[in-house]
Amino acid sequence: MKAFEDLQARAKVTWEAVSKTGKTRIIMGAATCGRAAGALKTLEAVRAEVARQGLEAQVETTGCIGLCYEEPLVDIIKPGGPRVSYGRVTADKVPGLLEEVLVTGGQAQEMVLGAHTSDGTGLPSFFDQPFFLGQERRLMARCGLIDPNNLAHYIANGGYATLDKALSSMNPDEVIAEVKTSCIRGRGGAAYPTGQKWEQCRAARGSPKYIICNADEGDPGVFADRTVLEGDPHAVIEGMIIASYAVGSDTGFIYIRAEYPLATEILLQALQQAREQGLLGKNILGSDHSFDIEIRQGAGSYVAGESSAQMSSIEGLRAMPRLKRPRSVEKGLWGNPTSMNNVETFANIPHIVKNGGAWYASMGTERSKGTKVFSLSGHIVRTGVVEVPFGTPLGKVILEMGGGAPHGWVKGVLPGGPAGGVISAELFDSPIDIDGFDKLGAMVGSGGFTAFDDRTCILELARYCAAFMADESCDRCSTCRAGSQRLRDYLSCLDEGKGTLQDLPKLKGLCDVLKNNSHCGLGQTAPNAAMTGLKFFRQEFEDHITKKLCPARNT
Amino acid sequence: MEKIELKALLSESPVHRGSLLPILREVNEAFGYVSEEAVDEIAEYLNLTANQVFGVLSFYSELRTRPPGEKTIKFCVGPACYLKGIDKIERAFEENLGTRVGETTADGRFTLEPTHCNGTCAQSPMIYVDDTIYGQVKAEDARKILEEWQK
Repeated sequence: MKAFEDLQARAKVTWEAVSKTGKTRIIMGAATCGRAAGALKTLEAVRAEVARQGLEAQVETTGCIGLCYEEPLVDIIKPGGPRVSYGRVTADKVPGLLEEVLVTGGQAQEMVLGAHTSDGTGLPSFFDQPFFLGQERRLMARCGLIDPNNLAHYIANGGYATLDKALSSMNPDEVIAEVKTSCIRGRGGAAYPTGQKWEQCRAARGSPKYIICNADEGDPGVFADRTVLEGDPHAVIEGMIIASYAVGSDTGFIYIRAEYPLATEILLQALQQAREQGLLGKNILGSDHSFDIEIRQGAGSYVAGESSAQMSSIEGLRAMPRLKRPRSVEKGLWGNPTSMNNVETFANIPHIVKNGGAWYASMGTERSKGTKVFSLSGHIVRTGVVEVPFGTPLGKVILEMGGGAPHGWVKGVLPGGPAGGVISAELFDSPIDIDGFDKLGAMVGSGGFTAFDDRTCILELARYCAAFMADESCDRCSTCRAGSQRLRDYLSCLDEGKGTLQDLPKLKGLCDVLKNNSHCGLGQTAPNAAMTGLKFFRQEFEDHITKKLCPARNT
Repeated sequence: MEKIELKALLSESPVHRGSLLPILREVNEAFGYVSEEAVDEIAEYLNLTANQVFGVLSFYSELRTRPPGEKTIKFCVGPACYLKGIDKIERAFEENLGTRVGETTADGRFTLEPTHCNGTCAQSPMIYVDDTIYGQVKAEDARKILEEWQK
């Protein structure tokens, strides 16, 4: 549409003014992970040093490219040269770095990570580091490279063109058909097919209809969504607008957790910019479609990540889940048809609608299509965020990209925080697959792997997981309220060597009760760590009981 | 004074039950906690009962019903921080301050609280003092960090 062509032309001018500036560009990774490592102090030092040395340089900020372990991360692009990344640039190292790279023309060997494109200067290639080999970066493609606070950067790099395509040349049914063909399943944990959800919501009777973006990312140790929101917020917003067009909704909400103040600030600004440019509000890009988005912040509740609990939270009630009949697509927020999807699901939508569902479905395993963003944390060398195709062996992600454990060896991982169960390193050949992980008793969940090393006691870890779930239970159903507490205490006793072998079937029985009888996903997944721990590390449980010792701690 | 500020704050919100959580967040941020008087005031403004307001207030861990100390020290409850020994760091702060997580020191200077993961696990174990993040903290850092804030 004409409105979009104008917008695109203006964005290109802005982008070229930044990217083809003729000056040296110094770009600072300033996402939350960078800031926690001191990025703002580094930024201040960069500005001060540029002024002090009178350097002809333009200082910019960007999101996180995924290498959280190398933060604070600084990129330098000299006129006509490649983008070169430098890691662990704390404020005290700034004068030395700028002096060496910009004045004396050195390479800053102790900080340089590599050049993004080859230029024959002999620098290593940034994207040939083990961390990147095997990644397929779609949602992460712009993260760490564009300024998330500048809409023009997104548009000049392909953004909102798919929305324009959908509004100008596709009807809502055609959009839904592409999403169905892609076979994308929700990325929040439940893995429900997105296309089907939209189709049901579109068909449901009731008005207005709502679109909700679940940005609660409650599973601790998981920060895939935060990285996308802080690095490329408009991708999520574009996905939501396309969803609203497909479903027939004029009102959307982004529910974001209280612990993500920076992502919230970036989103608020992105929404405002989108409104100013006619991408949100009445008659988007001159079409008949109108849609706007409000932000709702959580206030510290794990269970608010559950869909019905989140809707209750937006309505001003306690965030307590309800039974799923009727389903939210029929009666959701304020009793109206509602389609709730995860951040990462929305960010995938522009790719699907742009390239077609068949293109999307060509990557992945039989029933898990496309790519998945995973955060890596815990006892792992390279903590950060990777994006890999489904079907990638788990061990490749943990041992090759993540670099294994800093001390000893990786004994296993928690996929998706305390709710996802544990997966033993013996199963690292398993491809990452939603149904495959389910069969192991674990889950792909929301997309994070927290690695634990050989000195980690599996009973203590399972107790931690049960204790977390007990604390976060909404306490509505007694199965979850009492069951998760009992599970925690049971594991404590076994860890202290107070059990007998007859306790193991009883423990399994308690887990089954929680799994089968809890009201919602929280109680149902609360025993996952204990159950998978017992399944993969039974000998360790028995040693605690019969030998009164913990093989991991040697006590 | 507090009442006037509260009324001003309320008057900006639509009278709708959906405003309840945003209002509670704002009051909590402005005053550090949500007092009983504030609960009554909010209830009246939104045409709810005090019980309905308190029910929501007591559900969320970031909302407080008692005034916090001058500084709040928060400890992440996520698995990465757990695996890297956040419990030892909590104990070091508890011993240094003679109080426990969930409580405030007798002199009202510090409140210790658990907090949810903010996804900066590369810096685990991490704590906050108000909005300042300390990454890769060790138990022996407790005294030094406290000294910084006791000045």
